[in-house]
Amino acid sequence: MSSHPIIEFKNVSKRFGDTSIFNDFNFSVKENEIVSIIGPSGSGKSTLLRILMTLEGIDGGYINVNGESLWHMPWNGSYVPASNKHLHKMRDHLGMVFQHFNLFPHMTVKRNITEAPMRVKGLSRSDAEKNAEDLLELVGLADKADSYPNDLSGGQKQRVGIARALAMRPSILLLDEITSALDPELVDEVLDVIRNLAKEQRFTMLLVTHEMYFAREVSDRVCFFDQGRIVEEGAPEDIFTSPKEARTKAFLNAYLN
Amino acid sequence: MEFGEIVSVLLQGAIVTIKIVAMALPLAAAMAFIFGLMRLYGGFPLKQLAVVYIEFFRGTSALIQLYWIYFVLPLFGFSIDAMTAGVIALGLNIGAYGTEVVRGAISSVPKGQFEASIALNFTPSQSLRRIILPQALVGMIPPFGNLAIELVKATSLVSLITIADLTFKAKSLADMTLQVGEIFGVVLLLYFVISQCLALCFRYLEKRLSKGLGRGGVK
Amino acid sequence: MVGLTWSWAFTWEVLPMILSAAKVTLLATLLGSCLAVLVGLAFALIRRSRHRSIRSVIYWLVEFIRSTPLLVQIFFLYYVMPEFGISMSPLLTGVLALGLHYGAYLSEVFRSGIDGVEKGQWEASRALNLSMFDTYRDVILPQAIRPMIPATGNYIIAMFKETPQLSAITLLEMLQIAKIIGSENFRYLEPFTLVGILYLMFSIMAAYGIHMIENRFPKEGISLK
Repeated sequence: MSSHPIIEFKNVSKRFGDTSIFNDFNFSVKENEIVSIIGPSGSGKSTLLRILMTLEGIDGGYINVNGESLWHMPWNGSYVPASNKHLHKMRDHLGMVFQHFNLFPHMTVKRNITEAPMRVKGLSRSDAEKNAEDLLELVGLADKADSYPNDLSGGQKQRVGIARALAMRPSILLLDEITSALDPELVDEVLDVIRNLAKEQRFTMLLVTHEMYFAREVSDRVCFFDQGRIVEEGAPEDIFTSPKEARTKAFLNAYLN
Repeated sequence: MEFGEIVSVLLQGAIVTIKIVAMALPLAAAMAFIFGLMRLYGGFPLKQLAVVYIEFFRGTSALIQLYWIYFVLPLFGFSIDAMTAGVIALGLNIGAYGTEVVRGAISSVPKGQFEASIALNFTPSQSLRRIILPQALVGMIPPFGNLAIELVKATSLVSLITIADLTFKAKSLADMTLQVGEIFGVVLLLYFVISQCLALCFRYLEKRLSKGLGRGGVK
Repeated sequence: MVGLTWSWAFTWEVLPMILSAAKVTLLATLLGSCLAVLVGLAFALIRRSRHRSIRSVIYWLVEFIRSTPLLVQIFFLYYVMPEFGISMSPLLTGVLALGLHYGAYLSEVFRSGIDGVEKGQWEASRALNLSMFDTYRDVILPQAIRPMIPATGNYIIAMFKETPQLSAITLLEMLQIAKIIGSENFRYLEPFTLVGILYLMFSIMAAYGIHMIENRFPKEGISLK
């Protein structure tokens, strides 16, 4: 594992109206690191991912992705807010899997996976389809290529969601509470896919999750978030077995018992 | 006048009415999409332009718009024949109502679809064309169907600027003969048939489109 | 070319005439809306009849009125009613046509408003042994009114915007006056534009008024006495 930071938040602030989500927030992730973010709802976990995916802007500070500023670009010796073109380029590094899947209901599973590689990356149809077949194999849904999303179970939908994000070959994968909308018995089939991905360690993963055992098992580092700041972070073993902060203890107690 | 004769005169008028509908409907649809999208996504001046168009054509009455285009525009040096004036006035009027249909259907596409399009790095126009509009289109069909019927009804106004449509023929027959009950009965029936046929077309279109959206549709 | 430039002198000359015709327009709208509400309510209640045949007759009647042009309906009443010995002034003919046409639209609004009242309210009324009339008057309609206000208001504004069609049966409302002024002076620009602006102003004011009524209206409904 290299020690080069692939994601860096420097003094970032973010508000929704009068509510401050982040204030002077600093955070970094190393290349190929797998980081789990846990914490109570409303603590800014999902906002962190949504800012990285450029779904939400920031009100102050800088974010670097792969050594380049995400929300700003150099211009005449200073930094100015990023143009759409710059954001488009930066999004190439990132992929996201959503809590509510957000599959395209009017496309077959295969089209869901091939559409962006063909239109955005300019892959030929045959390459994109070959790629999609491999990915469907990987998530165990090779037989569902021609189904429509509405015919799939929640767990199957989310596995397609993962395949769709992977098809763009991102170097950073953002997983936003990907099992929260699933019935309990469907959670494992989705987590298994992520476990396999984690073993291969081919890219950086940032996951917001409420599955504590899973976070402990797959992560290199766990961050406990509360009220827009990282209260405690460290190796999963340390956080889960001997948390230092009172708030972390209280949260884990409530969750694990 | 014999009943058959009356019907044949009225049918000539009905053909004119259908022609006007056939020309004004595509114009209305084009206006609805252009100004509806401008209203949603346009920069400041375009958005304001769209608001002015929508408020003006929805706030005043269709007949006034028709008269304005027919009587006033020629004074500015645009010479316009009655038929063109009718098609333009009706197309712009119904189109203004259509912008709300376009806007409503696009806004009802779940937010997650827009976010997924960004996450997959589609350009705004790609995401609109390939992800958002295909899903929004099905929802637009029923209200567009209602507007199409409003258009059929509104075509009767062109009789007041001397176009020989169904209403015009009815009125001139009524002024000539005394069989007013028969004449207007047949005319109402003809309008009803035209409207219902159009409604049927739109229902068929809706069925076809929702099939393409995957079984179960978008819900 | 006369009409190219806007003449303020001419504008001030014709404005009083157009404004006095506005009274006719507003009167027609007012009477038309009252009739439309009554007709709409009647249709809506009959649509709830126990007899299937009665329901479907009203359904098709409403469908028929809604899918044929108001202008033809106006002509129909204007030409055909005298055949049956009924002669009415253009204003009354127009009001009748507007009332029937928009009554058909309003019946759908009222129907869904009544359907929107919780089922439990019907059951409670039944349990209290209220008569059908009392149930509607004291329980159902008071609760159904508020949700109906926006759609009803929009149809009344729509009706207002269709009043120029009454010029076709010689009613001297705003547009007809403007047309007469225009043809007498060979100047259409000012009169038609004025009428357009007046309609726009009235519509915007009415839309605001409806909004106010809806906001002021008690959420729990009102009792009808």
